[in-house]
Amino acid sequence: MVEEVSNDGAPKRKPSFNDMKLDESGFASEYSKDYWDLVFEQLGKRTLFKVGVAILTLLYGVAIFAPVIANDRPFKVESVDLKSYGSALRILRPMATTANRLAQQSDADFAASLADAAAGAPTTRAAAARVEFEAATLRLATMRSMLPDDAAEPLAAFQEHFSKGADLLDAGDSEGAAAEFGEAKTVARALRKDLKALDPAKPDAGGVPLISRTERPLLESIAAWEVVLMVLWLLWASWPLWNRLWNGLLLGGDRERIRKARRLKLAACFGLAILSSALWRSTFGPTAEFDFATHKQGITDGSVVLLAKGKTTADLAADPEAAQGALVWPMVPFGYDELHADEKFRPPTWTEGSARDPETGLPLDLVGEELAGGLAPAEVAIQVRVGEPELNAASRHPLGTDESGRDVLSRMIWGGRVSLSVGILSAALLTIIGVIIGSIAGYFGGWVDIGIMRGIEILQSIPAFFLILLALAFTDPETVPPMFAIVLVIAIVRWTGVARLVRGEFLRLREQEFVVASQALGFSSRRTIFKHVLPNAMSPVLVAAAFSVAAGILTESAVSFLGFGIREPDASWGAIVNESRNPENWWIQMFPGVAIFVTVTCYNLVGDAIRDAMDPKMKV
Amino acid sequence: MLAYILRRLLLMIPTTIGVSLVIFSLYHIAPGDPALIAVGSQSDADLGAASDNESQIDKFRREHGLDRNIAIQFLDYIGPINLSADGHPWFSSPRSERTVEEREVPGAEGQTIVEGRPSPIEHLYETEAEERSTLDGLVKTLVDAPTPEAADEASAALVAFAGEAPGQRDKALARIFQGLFEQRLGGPNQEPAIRRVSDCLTAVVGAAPELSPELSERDGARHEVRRWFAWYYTEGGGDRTTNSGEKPYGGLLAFDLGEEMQSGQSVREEILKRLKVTVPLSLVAVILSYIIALPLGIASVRRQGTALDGGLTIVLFVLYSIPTFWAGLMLVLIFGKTGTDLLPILGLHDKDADPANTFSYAWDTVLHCILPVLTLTYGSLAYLSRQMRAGMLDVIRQDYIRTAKAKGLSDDRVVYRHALRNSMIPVLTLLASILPILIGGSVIVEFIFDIPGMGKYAYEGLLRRDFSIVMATTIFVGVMTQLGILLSDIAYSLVDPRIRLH
Repeated sequence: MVEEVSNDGAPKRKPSFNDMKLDESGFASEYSKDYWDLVFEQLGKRTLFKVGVAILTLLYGVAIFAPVIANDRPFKVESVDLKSYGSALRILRPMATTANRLAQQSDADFAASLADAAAGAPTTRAAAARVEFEAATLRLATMRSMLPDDAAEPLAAFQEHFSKGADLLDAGDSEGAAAEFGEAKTVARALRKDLKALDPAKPDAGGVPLISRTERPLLESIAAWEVVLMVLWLLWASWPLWNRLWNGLLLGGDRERIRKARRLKLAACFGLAILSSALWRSTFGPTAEFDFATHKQGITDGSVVLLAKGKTTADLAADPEAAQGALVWPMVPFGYDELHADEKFRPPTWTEGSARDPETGLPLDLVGEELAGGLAPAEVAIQVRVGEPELNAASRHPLGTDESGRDVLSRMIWGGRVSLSVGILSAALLTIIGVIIGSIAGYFGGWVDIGIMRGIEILQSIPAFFLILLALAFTDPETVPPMFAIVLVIAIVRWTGVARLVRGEFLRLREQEFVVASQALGFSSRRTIFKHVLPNAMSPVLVAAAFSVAAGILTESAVSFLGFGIREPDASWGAIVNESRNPENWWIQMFPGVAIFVTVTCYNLVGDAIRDAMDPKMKV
Repeated sequence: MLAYILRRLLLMIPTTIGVSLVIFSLYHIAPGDPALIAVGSQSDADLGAASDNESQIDKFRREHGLDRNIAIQFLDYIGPINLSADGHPWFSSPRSERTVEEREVPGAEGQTIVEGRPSPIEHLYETEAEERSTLDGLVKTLVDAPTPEAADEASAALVAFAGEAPGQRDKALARIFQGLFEQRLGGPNQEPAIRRVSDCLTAVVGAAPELSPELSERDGARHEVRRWFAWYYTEGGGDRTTNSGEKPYGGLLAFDLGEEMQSGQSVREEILKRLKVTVPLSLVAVILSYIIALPLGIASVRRQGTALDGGLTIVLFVLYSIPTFWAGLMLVLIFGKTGTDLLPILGLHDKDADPANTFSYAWDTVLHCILPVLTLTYGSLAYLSRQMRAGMLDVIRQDYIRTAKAKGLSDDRVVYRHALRNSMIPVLTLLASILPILIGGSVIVEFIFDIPGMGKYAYEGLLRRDFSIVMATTIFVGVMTQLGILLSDIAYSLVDPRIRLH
């Protein structure tokens, strides 16, 4: 392939063996534009392609960084959780009581009480007491994290008695255990009086001052794979910059060396991404399995109090201003599944008539007016939570809210994750399936080919969209998560096009000399297919793959729009539209559609450009 | 040519069977039990006790034959001969044979006799609706006996019914045994009813089962009920339940598409009704998109490089990227009540449209169809004219066009006589792919505009997880697609004389 392509204008010269030996570097610089160099050069000339890639990069960036952009968790919060401290303190004694009762119970009574216990409940008294002990230890840890060290000392006595009781029960000494648990009960009663927290709202009531705790709920909720993607995206977005630096400074602009460095660069990118995700995980630990974002509600209703690092609730009572803790929110402080039932179907807040009355929740224009129908809508006061823009600020819900009062902008940012990844994943999968089956049919021919082609004909005589809908309707969303079901189904239904392409290329290439030569050399079929034929058949496949990403996104949105795809509370662009088909809620239908349209247009632009660059013959 | 078409049509049969095999396997392979999903989607509102749900699922399975061997289910769907009809041991299935429980008990004088456990008996499949109500009424009178005379009359009528023809006896027996089943507990107050039914049965059958005095003493009338059931399971022919499988022929090859799972309505009739809506809509959309796309493509090539060409290319490109459902929704927003309020958006007619007034009724229909047709058209329009432009560009670069121009022919003549025919070839082959796109799109369009057509029917079937509807609509669409391919092949040979079909 290298020999056949000459530089622009330069006379075509077949390099002889001697040339290469004598003047390797000269040869390299003059003749080293390989196929991919040419493709990239062609792509670089097209403005529309660059624009498309830039917009797509932006969209993918928003999707990948969605947790950082739109979230109902703060980046950083310095606070003290009065409510959980209080409940931990109050529950110590009931726990000791339960353990005590276990110790005094006979085995037979315990076995009888097991009859109506839930599955998975501990089956012996000792184990049950152990469970109580572990629960109490968790509560103690919570309290310790909020208490100054010296104030936390009395907790040790409780823990000691409790642990000793559990050990004794393990050993079979019920009476000794009961005594220890009894002790723990007494201690807990005293603790409840001694360790009562100082409430900054009522400083006169007294109590122990609590210290502040710094949390990073948002960063902790980011999983390792998300970090990989984020780093990869950053590298991709900054590629023009570092690539130029690397090529210019490190490789001295030598084309041959640049080409050799391609794999190294790729490996470096992935290595960096994986390394940083490992670092991230070692810093923030694994993400919690059941993780509810409670900070917003807690701070709003006062059970969590903001408290600066190093200060105590006593300081807060003395000087509320100085001891106020830090609280940093992401740009869009709404979670994609955060309910705001009081703000149902609110139009974009920058439009006219979107203002709401805080007391009644009705549109401001309607307040005080007699309603024509005589049916007064339900009045619900709207709660503005901490970190959110003011009720009637234009930036509160720039794209409106849906039926449950969820912010559409936040849902769209998160929904992009599903929509975009369904496109990419399904295209990748269907290309792989298509290439494998197509190569088998094309290489072996004969009955294999006939069988496969008949199968393809059958599959192609059912409209793909119909088949996808059908497969999704009959798949239980409990068994397979809808997103993966969609990816799988699209791939399984749509591989036929790619398979036909690859088969056609194989039939064309099969008779060519280099394939015959590799067969004559006795290479295995696998080697012939993968090393010699497939690379030459790849260009139309890559073009088809670019278009099938767009098709995948369109399909996912249509399927979710009909209600067979992504289900609430998860979001995808199509699923958001499905939430209301009433023309009055125009914002729900309009904005996600714009996102789909922009994405699909960009993919089609990119696909067109790749097709033109890879094979000018296919140009439309 | 005719032979070719005939052969292609014949070839459609195995392909269609393949299509139904694909759907059938999807239905069964897809994760999640079909019966569970269907029952779940039916009774979302009142999820009763788990056991109740379980029995519902079980009932659903039995009713729709899902408890049978999968291969048998498929073969039965295809037809035309119903394999389970004759009770061949290879094809026997739980559904066509009732699971009966029998046990031997000591009878009179040291013999052993058999007792059968009562189980619910349904009407035989062939029983007509009219006969069913007659039988129901008679048996009810016989059991409840408002007056002794009425009961006697009912008994006589039943005997008469059974005597009409050989088949009638089985129908009557099935219903009488259902009446007996309801009295299976055999309490003292049920004894007179059981006696009446037993007498009636004796009259119908001509003999009564032998009773064991010992057990009659112990169990009372219950023993008699069990003895009657034992007779029914062995000699009475009641060991096999009645079901659709009893029909000697049916299935896809006999053009029988089955019944809707819930309502029992014939799917074929419903599809024929819906087609009257969808076919005109799709045809108009196909014709419109060809009528508009071809001139657009030609115009854009003839003015290649001008602002018109550039503008058209961009507009078509953008149109091509708009999701169908979004285009429909936006049209509703623009032309509906909340926008300019120019066009009706839902359904095919106004609620108060009067079919008697032909002209205004037709006008109303046309108005209702504008937006759906627009939505159906624009996507294929964009695709077609892009292809038309590409095909045309390909052709006008060829030597024979240059020759024609060199001869001094006018531009119009060159384009319409020489170039057009050849540039149509790629566009015509697209017919095969546009038809399925349209039909797939009609699901969305009919959903948005609430049009009672095929697409909506398929959607409803999917929503209810109704196997018969889904299977039937998909097979229909598959056949349509194959016809589209055949049609485009024929058109191909008409346009290009180099291609001979054989």
